[in-house]
Amino acid sequence: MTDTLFVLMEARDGAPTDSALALITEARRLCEDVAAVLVAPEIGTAAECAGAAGASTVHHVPADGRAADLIAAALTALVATHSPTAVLVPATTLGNEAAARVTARLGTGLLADVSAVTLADGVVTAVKSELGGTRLARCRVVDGVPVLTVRTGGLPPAGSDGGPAAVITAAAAAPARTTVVEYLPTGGEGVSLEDATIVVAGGRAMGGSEGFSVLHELAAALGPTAAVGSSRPAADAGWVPVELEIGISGKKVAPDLYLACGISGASQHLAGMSGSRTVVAINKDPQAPIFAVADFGVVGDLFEIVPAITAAVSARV
Amino acid sequence: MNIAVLVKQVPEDLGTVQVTEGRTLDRANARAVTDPVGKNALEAAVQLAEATGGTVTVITLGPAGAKAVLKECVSVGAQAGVHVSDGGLAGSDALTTARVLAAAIGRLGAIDLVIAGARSFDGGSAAVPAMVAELLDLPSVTAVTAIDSGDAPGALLCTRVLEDGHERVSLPLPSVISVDEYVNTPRYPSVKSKLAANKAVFEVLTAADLGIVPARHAAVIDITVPPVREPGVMITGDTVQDTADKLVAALAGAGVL
Ligand SMILES: Cc1cc2nc3c(=O)[nH]c(=O)nc-3n(C[C@H](O)[C@H](O)[C@@H](O)COP(=O)(O)OP(=O)(O)OC[C@H]3O[C@@H](n4cnc5c(N)ncnc54)[C@H](O)[C@@H]3O)c2cc1C
Ligand SMILES: Cc1cc2nc3c(=O)[nH]c(=O)nc-3n(C[C@H](O)[C@H](O)[C@H](O)COP(=O)(O)OP(=O)(O)OC[C@H]3O[C@@H](n4cnc5c(N)ncnc54)[C@H](O)[C@@H]3O)c2cc1C
Repeated sequence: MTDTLFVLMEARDGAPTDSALALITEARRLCEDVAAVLVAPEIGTAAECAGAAGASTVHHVPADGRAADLIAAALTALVATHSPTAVLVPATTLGNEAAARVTARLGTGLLADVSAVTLADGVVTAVKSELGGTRLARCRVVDGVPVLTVRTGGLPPAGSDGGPAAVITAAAAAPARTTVVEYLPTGGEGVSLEDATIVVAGGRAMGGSEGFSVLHELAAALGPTAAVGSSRPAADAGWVPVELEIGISGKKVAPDLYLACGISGASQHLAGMSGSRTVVAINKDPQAPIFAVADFGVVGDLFEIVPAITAAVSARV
Repeated sequence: MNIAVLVKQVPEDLGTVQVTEGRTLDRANARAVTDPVGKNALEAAVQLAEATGGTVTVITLGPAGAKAVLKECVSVGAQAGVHVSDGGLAGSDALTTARVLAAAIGRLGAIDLVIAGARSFDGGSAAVPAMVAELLDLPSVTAVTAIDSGDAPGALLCTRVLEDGHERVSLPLPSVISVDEYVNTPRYPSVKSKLAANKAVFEVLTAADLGIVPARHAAVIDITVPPVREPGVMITGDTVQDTADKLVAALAGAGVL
């Protein structure tokens, strides 16, 4: 039997998400044969996007793609027919919910929130950062088709050189029991935190939502792949939307560059940013724990330093 | 509204958890506390029960000490607690945990709503609530930041947090929701309610009582300590702008800009 990896392809308004496409490309790197599973009323651009990213097939299940129980029913049926080597799901809110349901339906094992996947001799192994980033664990599923939720933040962007994937349309699924009444996108255009290659994060030191404007200006100077994030207190206080919180109870990001501005470096925050390739810490306290994990540190007042960095970045182009 | 709440006990400081030869976690040196997000789940349940009438029953799976979770929850508004305690369930994976919790919920009779935390402080797989929903064949909404019960009878309007924003979802009852820390601010117990909770008696169940045969689905191959990052470079300059210029030059030199 040849290996096949299934990837759940989340989509919004007919367009697959960047994180799903990046996961398809990662799956293609591990395995010749990648099948994307799209649960959505319409196929939209999925065949072209998934194919370009590296999928050979798209299984399209016409159903409400925002209902985790329908996604789980569709995935379970496809797994039963095609017995893939594993099912990879982006570790997003909806992906986590759907993956958990699939695992329960199949009675197999879930490898949750993994940061790296390997496939050798038909066996999938996952690496996870655990206990607030203080440990690395390698795990596998004991028997049955493994289900994995994968942090997509650290993945390289999706490939773009494959031809369109073949589409196999499944029977329409039952109506959803839950109904999305309203979708409220995060204000402002630009990349999502998970997809950003540069994250400019602010903490309690920002002092309020106005304080964050220096970070937005730096992010804008750093280009379209830079996004603003925050520590818990800043999100708790409502200075930024809650979906910008990074950490153990917030987003897990793994950008090329992470700028921590006025963030002390508590373990719960580090848990969300520990996958970052290069870390810059700006803090007025030279003893701040964040300096222990930073590649570059600057001691001083961020309200002076950050605008100066913005000026230096702008001067480069 | 009759509500079941799932709350687990977690180590207060994840750094103090030891990893044993047998690749399991030794929590002996780690102070155990109630999962912070579990307190939000309990608070959400108590608020809904206060608004609509009804009861709140807390269920926890864990060793003998996990009874402290039930006491704490009763001191802040739960009426009853169920403790699933069984050495054979130690170190259970998410699916086994969910099977146990679903079976325990099943014994409670007619339940309108199950509330859990979105992501536990230690395991953090963000999987158990949706697994429980699947096992009970109920709809679910996870990562809820606001609950509105005024929408229509027999339904809730939940706001959930997504990667790219928020979604408001209408959810029929009975169902399962998981809440995150932003949903509310948990109340504190009073001295009186603490004393009363100390006298509370909880039902204690084993896996056999629930008809569950402990099974392992996921296995750990090894656990290591991640490589420590090399100490970084501190950047200083004559002026703030000079420092910033040096930093940007260093980042460009490192190939990240
Ligand atoms: C570091 C670490 C990594 C792990 N990785 C995996 C993995 O990849 N796959 C896997 O299958 N298992 C894994 N486990 C085991 C698993 O996390 C727990 O043991 C499992 O019992 C509950 O999962 P969770 O804590 O991740 O729950 P989550 O799904 O994150 O918890 C969400 C909510 O579910 C409820 N809940 C969860 N557990 C209980 C409980 N015991 N009693 C009452 N309510 C509860 C609570 O409301 C909680 O807030 C891991 C454990 C650890 C410590
Ligand atoms: C269960 C639980 C879960 C948690 N989850 C998370 C999580 O997911 N994410 C998270 O971030 N936290 C989380 N926390 C909170 C965490 O423990 C810390 O409290 C939090 O990360 C601290 O945020 P901070 O660094 O912004 O603030 P502080 O710790 O207050 O640090 C502020 C820093 O800014 C510096 N500073 C002040 N003014 C200036 C200035 N003008 N210029 C430069 N530097 C300045 C100070 O020196 C200080 O180091 C959690 C806590 C618990 C208990």
